[in-house]
Amino acid sequence: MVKFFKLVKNEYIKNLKKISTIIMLIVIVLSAIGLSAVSAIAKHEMQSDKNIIENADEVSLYQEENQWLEDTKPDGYKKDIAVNKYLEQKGFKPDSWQAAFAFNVKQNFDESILFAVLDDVIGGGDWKAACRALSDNAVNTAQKWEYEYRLENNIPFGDSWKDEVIESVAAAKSTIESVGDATDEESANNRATAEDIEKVGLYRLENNISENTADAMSLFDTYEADQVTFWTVFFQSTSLVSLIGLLIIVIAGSSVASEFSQGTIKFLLINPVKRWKILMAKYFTVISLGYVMLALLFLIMIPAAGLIVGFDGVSAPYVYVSGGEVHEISSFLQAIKLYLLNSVEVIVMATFAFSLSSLFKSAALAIGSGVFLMLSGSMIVQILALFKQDWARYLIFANTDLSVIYNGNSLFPQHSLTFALIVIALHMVVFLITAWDGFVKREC
Amino acid sequence: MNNNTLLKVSHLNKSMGGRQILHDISFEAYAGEVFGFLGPNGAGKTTTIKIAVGLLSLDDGSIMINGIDVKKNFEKALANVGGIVENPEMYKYLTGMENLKQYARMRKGVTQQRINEVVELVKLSNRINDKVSKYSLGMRQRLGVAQALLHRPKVLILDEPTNGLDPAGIKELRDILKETAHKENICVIVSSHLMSEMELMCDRVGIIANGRMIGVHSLEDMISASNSKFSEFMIRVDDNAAALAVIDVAEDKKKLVDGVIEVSLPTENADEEISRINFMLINNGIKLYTVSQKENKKLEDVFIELTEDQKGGGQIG
Repeated sequence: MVKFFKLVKNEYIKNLKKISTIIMLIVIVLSAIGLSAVSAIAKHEMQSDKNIIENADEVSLYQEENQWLEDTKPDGYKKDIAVNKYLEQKGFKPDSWQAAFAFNVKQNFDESILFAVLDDVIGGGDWKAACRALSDNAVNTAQKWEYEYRLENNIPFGDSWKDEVIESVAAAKSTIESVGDATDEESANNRATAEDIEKVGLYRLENNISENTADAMSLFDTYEADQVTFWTVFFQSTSLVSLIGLLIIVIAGSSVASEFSQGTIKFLLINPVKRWKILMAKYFTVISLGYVMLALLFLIMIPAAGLIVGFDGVSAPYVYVSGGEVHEISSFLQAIKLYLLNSVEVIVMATFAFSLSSLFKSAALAIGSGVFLMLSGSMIVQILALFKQDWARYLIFANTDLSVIYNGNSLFPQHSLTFALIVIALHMVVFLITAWDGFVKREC
Repeated sequence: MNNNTLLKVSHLNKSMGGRQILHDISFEAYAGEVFGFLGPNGAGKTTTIKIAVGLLSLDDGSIMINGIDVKKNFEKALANVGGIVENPEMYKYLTGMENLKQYARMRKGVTQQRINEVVELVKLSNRINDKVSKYSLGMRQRLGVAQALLHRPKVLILDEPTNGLDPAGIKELRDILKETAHKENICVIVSSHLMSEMELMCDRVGIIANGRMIGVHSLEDMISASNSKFSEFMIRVDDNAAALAVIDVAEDKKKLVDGVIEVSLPTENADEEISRINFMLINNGIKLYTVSQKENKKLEDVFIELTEDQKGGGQIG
């Protein structure tokens, strides 16, 4: 065992003394900083867009709408005008929670009661009395649940994150109600999604979790500056794992082949060490270097995202539903999970390049085919899936993106995680046997 | 089997690409000697050495190093071997010292002190911390020797070690090899295609040509083979025909070459014979101008004679 680690140490020294490896590490650091910087710029842009809207004169917005209502006279326009005037008079901006509340409840009441309720809730009166009235006048059970829940748990209106969560749970409940017992696929999916939202929402309310990083959307799907947080950027950094994949293919592809091309293989193999041990040390080094790079990216992302985007919400947990149960884990743990899921592709491609490396003695060929397949593999599978070629599910590239398969978004129906892992394992065995055959039995 | 046998090659056969490269190669090398492995380019020297250190597989036969079969117990057998095969190519982006440390980690019992010792021995101390990419071929060759000596191997196998060395470097290397072989009682095996080189450092020489072992000779044998029982003398006189008739040695021992008479005389009493011939010539009125001894055959000539019988030679280096 000591001997094996000495062999690994040799391989590490060889890799780390190469300028190319040092450049790779620098590229990883720079890409982490770059991603954070781009996110910060995007956030800044969204912020200034929002500011332009907010700077619009709110009074004029109410007046404009009233003018339009007067002109078109839709049903109940008189009540709408009255509400707008009420909000304008009280000085609540159109994007305030008070305005949203008024908008939500105005169809539930006659004008006579409506303003009493509004006074109670947003004018600082007896919100519980208003809540009871709201409950009595609820249009569906989901709405009724919302007001009763507020009364029961003493949650007044205007508590921004709780309002949001309560509304999302109410919306989920109303979805579940409307789907009913329908058994078609779409309804079932909608029901399952709504049930998850309900469970997570209730869990957050019970445990007073103001922020859930599971809601952190992809950077590319966000338009609200508030949603570009530490964790949005951090989770986005998993896309940089592919970059590490490319770098590791370069290292794996030259691991064995460069010994041949530089002629150092003879001095390596003349030592009293069996060839398979040397090969294993090389493979272990390649794979572990991949994880060293992942760890480096992870550790650099913390200060990079924190200092450039901000540490707000860094302690928020990740709350999700799995197997019908709500789980709460640290967001750091979730980020590690995401990194590890993404690393599977890196390992598979590195193993592939490694086997080519010992088969062809040519680093360029091994690196070239590894990179080409990594970049084109998923595209090839997509095209095959498009033409309903179901056998393509047996291809390695259809199985490496575990997070997609795990979430049930695979291109192939009934594509389970177990199936993917078996396909990956079989390919890995083939790759390693090829490497073995190319190295251990080679005449040199 | 000799108790001191450190390398024993028995009935080695090897084919590559459908062509048989080695035919039944057998020889032994002993502790305390420098064994020369001599043959023209492509005779199979490097192939034999590569098989001995496990770089190539063997079809048939066996290699025993210090009594351990290389095929059956590679790690234990190779623990006794140090070597350079073909060119001394090391990691260019590492320094000489870093390279040596790489090999030290793969072998047992190599201390930093030992590393410094071999560096001193091959006279690389002042350049050992430079990158190998800056080394000359001679320096890389010396680094290769240092690498081979690191773990105090019992068998040192060097394939064409004088390649790229200047005359002073060759002499140094020769001294290092002789000294280590004789003082530390190890077996040094050196391959070369130059007899003149072997002459100066080897105790015994194995000659290989066209994939076959032609013979193993001690250097002393070869020297005495060249100093055969007869010595050649050239006699210049005024009347060759008369002189040939007068000189009373067997017909096949005297001949006329380029106007000079050449005679073969038994080496042990050549002086007596010459004075007798001198006497006879003078008695018969033949004028004697000069008598001179022809130089002995060089070992190089013996080597060429031996290998020329094996027409062609191999093509694989």
